[in-house]
Amino acid sequence: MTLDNPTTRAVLCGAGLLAASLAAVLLSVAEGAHATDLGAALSHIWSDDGSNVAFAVRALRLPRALCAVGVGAALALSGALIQIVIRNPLGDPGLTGVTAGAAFGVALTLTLLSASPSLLVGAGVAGGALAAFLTYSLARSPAGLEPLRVILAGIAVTVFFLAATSAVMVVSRSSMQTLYFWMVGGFINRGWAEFHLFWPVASAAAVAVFAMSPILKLLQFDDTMAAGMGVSSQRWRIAAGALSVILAAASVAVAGPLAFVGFVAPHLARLCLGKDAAPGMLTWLITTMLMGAALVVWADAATRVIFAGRVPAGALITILGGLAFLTLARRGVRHAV
Amino acid sequence: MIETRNLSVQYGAKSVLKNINIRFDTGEITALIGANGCGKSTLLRMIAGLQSPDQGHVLLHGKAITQHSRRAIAREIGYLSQSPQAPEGVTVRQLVEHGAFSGTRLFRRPAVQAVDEVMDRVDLLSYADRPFDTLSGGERQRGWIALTLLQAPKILLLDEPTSFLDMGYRIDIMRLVEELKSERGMGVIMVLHDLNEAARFADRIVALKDGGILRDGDKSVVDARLPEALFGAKVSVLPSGDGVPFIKPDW
Amino acid sequence: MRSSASGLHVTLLACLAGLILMSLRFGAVPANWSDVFEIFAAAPGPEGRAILELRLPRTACAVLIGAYLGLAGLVFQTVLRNPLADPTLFGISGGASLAVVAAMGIATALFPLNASYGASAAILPTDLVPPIALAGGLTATALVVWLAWQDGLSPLRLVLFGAVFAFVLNGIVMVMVMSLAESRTELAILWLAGSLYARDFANFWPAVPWGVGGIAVIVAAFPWLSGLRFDAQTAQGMGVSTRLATPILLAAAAGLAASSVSVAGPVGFVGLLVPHMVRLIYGAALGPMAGGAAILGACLVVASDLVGRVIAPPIEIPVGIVTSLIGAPIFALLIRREIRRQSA
Repeated sequence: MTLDNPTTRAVLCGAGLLAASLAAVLLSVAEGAHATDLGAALSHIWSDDGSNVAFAVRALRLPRALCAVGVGAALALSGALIQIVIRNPLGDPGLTGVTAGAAFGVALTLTLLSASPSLLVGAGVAGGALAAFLTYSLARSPAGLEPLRVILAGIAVTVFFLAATSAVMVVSRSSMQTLYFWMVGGFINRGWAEFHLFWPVASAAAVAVFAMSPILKLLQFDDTMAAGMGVSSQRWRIAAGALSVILAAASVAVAGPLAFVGFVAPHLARLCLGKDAAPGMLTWLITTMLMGAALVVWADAATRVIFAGRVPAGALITILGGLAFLTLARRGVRHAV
Repeated sequence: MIETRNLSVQYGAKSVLKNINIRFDTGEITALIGANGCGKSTLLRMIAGLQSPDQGHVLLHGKAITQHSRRAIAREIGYLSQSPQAPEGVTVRQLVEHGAFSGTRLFRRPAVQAVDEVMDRVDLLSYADRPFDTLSGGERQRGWIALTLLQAPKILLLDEPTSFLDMGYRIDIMRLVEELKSERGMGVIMVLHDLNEAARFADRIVALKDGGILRDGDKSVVDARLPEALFGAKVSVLPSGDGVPFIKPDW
Repeated sequence: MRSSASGLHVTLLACLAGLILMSLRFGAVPANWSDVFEIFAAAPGPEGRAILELRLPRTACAVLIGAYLGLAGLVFQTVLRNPLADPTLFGISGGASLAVVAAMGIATALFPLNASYGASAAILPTDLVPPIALAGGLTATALVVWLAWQDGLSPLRLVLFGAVFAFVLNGIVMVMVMSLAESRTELAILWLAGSLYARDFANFWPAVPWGVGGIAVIVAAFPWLSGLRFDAQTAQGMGVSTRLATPILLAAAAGLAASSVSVAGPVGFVGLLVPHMVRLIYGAALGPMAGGAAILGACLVVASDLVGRVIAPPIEIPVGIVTSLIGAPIFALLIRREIRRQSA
């Protein structure tokens, strides 16, 4: 049992992250306006005694925590995919325009179109795909996709769709406060309805990603090298990019435009698995998902406890994630900028 | 094994390759030479099926290369671009294992024995668990060649394999190429800059100029007139003991 | 050349005058042209009063911040030799917002009962807002430049770091806003969206001296500015002390941008677009461009504010959102051009 053995290490990482997520879920379930001790809260999950506390646990706290777990995992996986597709460790759905595009699609559906909530995920995917296409067209050059350019084009697309989302919400007479809450992303008032919209799409996409992992391995090389090894990389990059958009858009439909999770989680996963040897693709993807889940559910739990529920988790995630991005982009990440 | 039929490529208005008909087989080392921008790297990519021609065809085993699957091509042809970049943090073994993609069932780990064998072949076995980016330039180049060897290709395409290496490593790589030919009967097609390197190590020399084939033949292609025709450079040919001409620029 | 530049100035000023009149005439409350001119009368009617008390100050604010931002953008793009430079993308607005909101938080904590507040900064005395914003903006700019510095400043790297830093600052601002007392949140949020809603002369005047100071520095340092259009070595060869000139000019421009933030919150992309438009109109002569940037910036902000008010009355789309909607696509095209230029 040494940490040097990569398999042992991967198993320990996975178990640790799983335990961390579970702890945050338990904290979220027990913590709230109706103070509940942990044992009672847990028993309410299984049995409904009609009390207010039971309602809070079953209908409010549990689904919210599950949303945070799912969204964290999906965003992390989406970020890992983008990093592979554009071959740049700075990739993040929030920086490539996808999140903002999805947010626009969702906001439009929620307000002006007042369409049924079941369309939210579809609207998010459509918006995200549009944004991804715009970013791609902007960044494309005869030399192929240069990583840094993708992110710059992504920033332009992000700013545009965030402004458009704000405009849509202002015109539809949302209060500025609602707008502000939604635009930063979080899990306040998210419940079973959102979770049921989210999980089928996200799990299907995740399964597809796992199935693709042997090919994702080769997409880490440039197009000619990948082709030399036997992969039509252009086509697979588009497929992987599409899965990444779906995962990010489904997350946005639930939680609004959370930034930086997709960037931070894959890096932390790599650190956990050991810097010396690159982990296997599948191991890395799974650890990344667990990492994302743990990060987001903890961010939600922490903001609930610290700010008494008044601040959405997105604020904390943006601050910490952005700082992590700046640090890593400045120091640790080679080739990137 | 690979041949081109009336192959032409344009980049915009500029014609890069004009009506090329050429055939390559296993068991010989071919050097593609020519001035910068004459189309040698483009020809190499076309042969590898990495780029489709504007006119004409590339045939692999008599069938258009576009009709072979990517994976099938990779089992026949190994291709190494000029300056490939390894994913961050991989060890030598992990890098080399990627070469198994075309030959192994998906989700199956490549046979350790096969990976060891190719690493041993390029003298990197003792470095197997070192991070790839701690290797020297020449060692890295050997690592990439090991990766393509794991594909067990019949023909290996190398785009300027010695360009960024110093003298010792250049000889190293060229010797390795010779051994691959003699031991495995592989064909090797390389883009080379150095005419002397080409004359010394290649069995066949193809000189390209302005998108067309200027000369195609054995070592004797490299003579005093060739550099002038290709680069507009004046040279002398010095006799050398083993019958291989040695070009000396007239500085 | 000189005469044609003055001709262009006059034309643009005429446009600005037209836009100002329209900004006074149109809005949620219907008014006629005659009401607009009633503001000069001794005793204006109700419409005239509304124009005088509501639309006139906000239009004045629009002119002021537009001129500041246009000029700041020109100086930024010239000094950094970066066609993608914009104060809002470099964390200046974020830094200024953060400083102001933090000050609001402190003020609320220290003087919980102080009920006298203007709408803009909610709780702070309006005189204090510009210097606080200035300090925050300068600090943030310095941090971004420090973060992005790597053997010089690559335009693309600077934009990337600036944008991410702005995200972080906005996150912090968000936490602070939410921690303010409930009644203050709405006001703070409105201010943060980059809005001219309910701005009056109490917001206008404190920002004037700071801006004038910044403009004076830029005018005084003008020969430096033209030298800095060249790369550092050439500029030094011409005798420009780049080590001195760069920070001074950047600080002056950041001061202008921060002053505009103190009036209306962050208004994006004006500083990015105006220099490019000015270059199209005036050519490459820096002197006329500077004047043109101020006038054109004012035109852009007055027009954007007007559009935001008339598009769906009585709802107002904050001016910052309008300028972002116009500016982001053009920003995208500029990035595309920069990419082309670098790959050529």
